[in-house]
Amino acid sequence: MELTQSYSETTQEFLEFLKADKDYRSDALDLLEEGKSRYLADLKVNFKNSFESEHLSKKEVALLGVSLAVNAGNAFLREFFKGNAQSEGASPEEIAEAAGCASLLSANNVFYRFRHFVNKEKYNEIPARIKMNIMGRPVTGKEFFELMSLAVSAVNGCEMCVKAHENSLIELGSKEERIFEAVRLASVITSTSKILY
Amino acid sequence: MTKEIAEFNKSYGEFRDRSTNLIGASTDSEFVHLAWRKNHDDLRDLKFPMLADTSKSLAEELGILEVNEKIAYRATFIIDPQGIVRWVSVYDLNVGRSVKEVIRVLDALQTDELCPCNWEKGKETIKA
Repeated sequence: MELTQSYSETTQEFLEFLKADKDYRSDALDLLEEGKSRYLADLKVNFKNSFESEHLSKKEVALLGVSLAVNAGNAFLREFFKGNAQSEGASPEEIAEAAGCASLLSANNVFYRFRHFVNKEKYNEIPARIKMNIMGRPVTGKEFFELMSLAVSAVNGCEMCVKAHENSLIELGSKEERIFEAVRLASVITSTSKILY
Repeated sequence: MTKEIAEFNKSYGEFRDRSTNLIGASTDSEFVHLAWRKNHDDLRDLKFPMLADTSKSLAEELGILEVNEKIAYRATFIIDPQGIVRWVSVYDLNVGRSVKEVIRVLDALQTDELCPCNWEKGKETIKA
């Protein structure tokens, strides 16, 4: 078993950035370390680059992070982004909404993707009976809630959802660059969640 | 000047993660360089080498030696593995360098997308 003290400099710097405990370790990280993988440098660079965004504020990055970490079921990243969101001034309500969005969108992604797969009018007619009240008047604002929804849907792979949310965002005035950054962040968080958990 | 070297030193990990070596150079001698390192807190753990270009020949060949006073301008060069200069940044003596900008350019210069998902019909295949 690899000890944290013998993790490479790159990894130690990355874990420090992520505010990990001194004795943090993960099995997947150990595999990379044992093989002295070059991938660790790329993972760290990708994460840090997505963390700073021209088109997303620091608070928005943090809230997206919370949402995506909850979607991934990743406690390590969820805690990191939660702390990060708090220090960027996010309220408990906003953080809660990020978590709620991930959960709700996960349901919608299964549901609407099914409708899209089968494409039978009958399934569109049967009432969904899934409550989506938090979409009504989001604390984080309509545009940002749509952005979080798009990011989660992109990870969960629902084409119909991604297209619908992208369309809403453009109509609300968001730029493609901003949407792209959110998706890049989602990609990078997904890749990180496979190694650090 | 020392503040800039310290900035690069602080970002040493960022350059290392991008497989990039850092080399500092000035026209001062190696003794002056050693004195700096001993006397400045920020430089004590300097992680990269300093070149002593005492004859000013390197600065001259790089085209950054001011003609009259023979002082070197503050310049940053990004050189690729084949030895080709890919980016040069030269500042007036009063303006500090931005390490963040150097890293941004480095990211832009280094190949990232190697995935064939980006390949368009008719284009050459990827040669990494």
